[in-house]
Amino acid sequence: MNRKKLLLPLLFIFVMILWGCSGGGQAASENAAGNRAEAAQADNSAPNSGEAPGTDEKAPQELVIADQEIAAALDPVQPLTSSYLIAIGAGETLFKADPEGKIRPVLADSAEAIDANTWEISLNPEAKFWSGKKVDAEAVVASLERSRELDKQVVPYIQDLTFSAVNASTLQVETARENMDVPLNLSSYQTLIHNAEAAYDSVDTMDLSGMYKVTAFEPQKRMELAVNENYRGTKPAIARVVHEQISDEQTRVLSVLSGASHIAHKLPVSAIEQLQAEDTVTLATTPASNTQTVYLNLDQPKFQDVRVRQALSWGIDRQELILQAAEGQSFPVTTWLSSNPAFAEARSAVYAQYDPEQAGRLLDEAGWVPDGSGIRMKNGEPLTLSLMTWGGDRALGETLQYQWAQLGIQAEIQHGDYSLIETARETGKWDAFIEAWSTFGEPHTLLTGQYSPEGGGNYGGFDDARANELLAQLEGASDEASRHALALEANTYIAEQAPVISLYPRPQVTAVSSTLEGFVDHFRPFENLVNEHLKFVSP
Amino acid sequence: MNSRRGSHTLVFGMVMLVLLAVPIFAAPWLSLDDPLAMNAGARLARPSLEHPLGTDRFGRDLLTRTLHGGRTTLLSCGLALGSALAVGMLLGALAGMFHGSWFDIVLMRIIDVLLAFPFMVFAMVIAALFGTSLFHLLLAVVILWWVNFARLTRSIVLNTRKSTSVDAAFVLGISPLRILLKELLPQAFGPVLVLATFELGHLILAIAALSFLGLGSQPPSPEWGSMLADGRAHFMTTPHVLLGPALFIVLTVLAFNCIGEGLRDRIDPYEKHRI
Repeated sequence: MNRKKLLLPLLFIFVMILWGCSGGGQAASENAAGNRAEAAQADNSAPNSGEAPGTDEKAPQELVIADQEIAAALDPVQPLTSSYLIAIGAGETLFKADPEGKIRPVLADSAEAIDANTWEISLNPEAKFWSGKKVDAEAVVASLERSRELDKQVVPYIQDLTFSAVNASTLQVETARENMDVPLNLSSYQTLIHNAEAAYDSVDTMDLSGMYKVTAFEPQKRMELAVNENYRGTKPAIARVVHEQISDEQTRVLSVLSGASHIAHKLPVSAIEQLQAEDTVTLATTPASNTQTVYLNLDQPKFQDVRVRQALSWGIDRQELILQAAEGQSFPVTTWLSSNPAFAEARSAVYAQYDPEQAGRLLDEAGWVPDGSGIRMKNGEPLTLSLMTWGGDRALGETLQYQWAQLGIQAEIQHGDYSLIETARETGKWDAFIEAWSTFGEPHTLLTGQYSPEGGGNYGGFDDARANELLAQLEGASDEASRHALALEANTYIAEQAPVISLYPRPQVTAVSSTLEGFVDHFRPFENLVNEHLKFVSP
Repeated sequence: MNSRRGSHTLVFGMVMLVLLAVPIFAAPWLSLDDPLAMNAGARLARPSLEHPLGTDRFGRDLLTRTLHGGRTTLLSCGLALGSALAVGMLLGALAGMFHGSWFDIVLMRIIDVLLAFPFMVFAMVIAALFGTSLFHLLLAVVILWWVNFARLTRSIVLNTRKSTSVDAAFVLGISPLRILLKELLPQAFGPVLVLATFELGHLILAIAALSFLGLGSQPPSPEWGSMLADGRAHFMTTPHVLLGPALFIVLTVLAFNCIGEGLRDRIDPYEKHRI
């Protein structure tokens, strides 16, 4: 009896060995894909089913999107909520960036610079909120002022702007600085236009203007939307959208491969090879215009010495980092702004190459010298660092940990939910974390948001006289050439002095079912999940 | 007959365990690669003479990591189980010795509550409260895992207390502590050892599962469960990344189960018929 009991596990082990060594997984994957395709053909109720070529009338009219995170609230002034509402077609801004980076009107009709400090924005006369209320100048001003009051993240984009209604269809914007690019600032998701009189405590009381209306919502779980029948423009071809939160990245991969969802967003780069082998999905891999950045806390005495911060940056082999943590799907940047194509020349303005010897010298000078075991010590304390990561950044954290370990720095990785990072920031008890902010926008606005003492993204507490002076000069620059030159100078100085380490633009991987047509890849992740031209077709 | 079959199972389990344990515990002295050393040029390499189990996404040798991960898993499981065993036997023996006392009653109610608590949920609560680390995971093990040993020890002590030899010892005025140590506890060692062997297999699976969820060992330390989690993303294209940890988990649990079954048959050959 006992011998018989042993047979089964031994047989299982034997099969596993054979399978593992023969690369059977690939074959199994292909077979699975084939089976799935057959199943989809056979079952018209499956999301990726279809019969005739071209648009499939019997295709499902519900688009399922699996995302790493969905909105945690309905009120667009809550952190990040506006980005999800725009991505899913519920919310709109006055302007948006097209995939080429050009700014196009959305709720606005046109924009004109009257003089160096004044813009006039004509609003689309057909624009209405879901409630039927017109999106007129008063409503836009009320929306932006509500955001200014309640959403700290919008401050960098509108802090220098004063809004007033000229008449129902014309908005006037006074700028504190000359020659500001107001439409660019008003294309950021934080400036989502919403009815400021609405309550936003349920799907019935919220009032936005997008082509889809929210019909059901479970925070951080599921949002259901249906076509806004009163939408002014082209109505979307797909009647319903479900935005589903699936936090585990590998589960999102399986979700789109199995046909349970049609779009899987923010997939791990490690899944690229697997997804490329499948003919049931297509891949979108446009790099985002943001910079993976390590933020350091200046409240920690060890990071108050600029030599330590610089050593951490010199001690990173970014090329290897990209290979290990991003499957080679990005490029190294050493300054924050340089993931923006307009500032590509600043990609290696400082820390031009991996230089562990320079890093070691700086640490020696700062008093952190290796002990017998190679650990850098000062006053009997080891140089340690607790690095918080979230989402798909665990591999990035682990590679950084290894590279810093070569310098004698003990890094501990804490990988978990983003809320852990938020909590740590609130309490001030953190060493370092990784985050990627957008670098597409007006340089002064972006740099002020990250590096001025009052900037919402200045997590490390950077307050430097020279940096503030450069930002002030940038604010006063009157022509494009001098603005660009000053932005570069500030960007370079900040890379050397601020408690941040720029790594590379975050690669973004989206898998789209081959039954779906019209998906537009975009360098701004919040601009692209749905559009009015999306439709189901036969695979 | 049962006893002989039990011996075969026991020997099989012991041999398998030795075959696994020797390379695992000798790993630091074998001329293997550094388990933490990354090599971007050898990422996800298939099994070869240089890397018998291939490499992971960081180019780390999977055989080396599997063996070092085994040290982490086995040592931590052994330590946690040893602690749970000591606590459980001590409290169970005291409860049995002072049967019906307030200590016995309170302890049994605590055991009832802890037995109703799912281990995975409890470990997640501990991780949420104190952070994710192997130490906190093992703490959760010790807090919950002692109850089975306490119940078994208590029941054996209660049973043995009724024997004439124990009655005689009391009559002769021998101290309760001495009776407990010399007469009662030795009776519990055998059954508790059998239970511990089975529990060790369960514990390895539980710790691997929790490390898989990111609640146990943290990077870069190799651990079988976290290695499975790391390899999961590449499973469809490079399945060999799961081979090492999966194989060692299966074989180790199998070895402990065989040892447990063999020990049970040897210690109590009639147990199987009764079940």
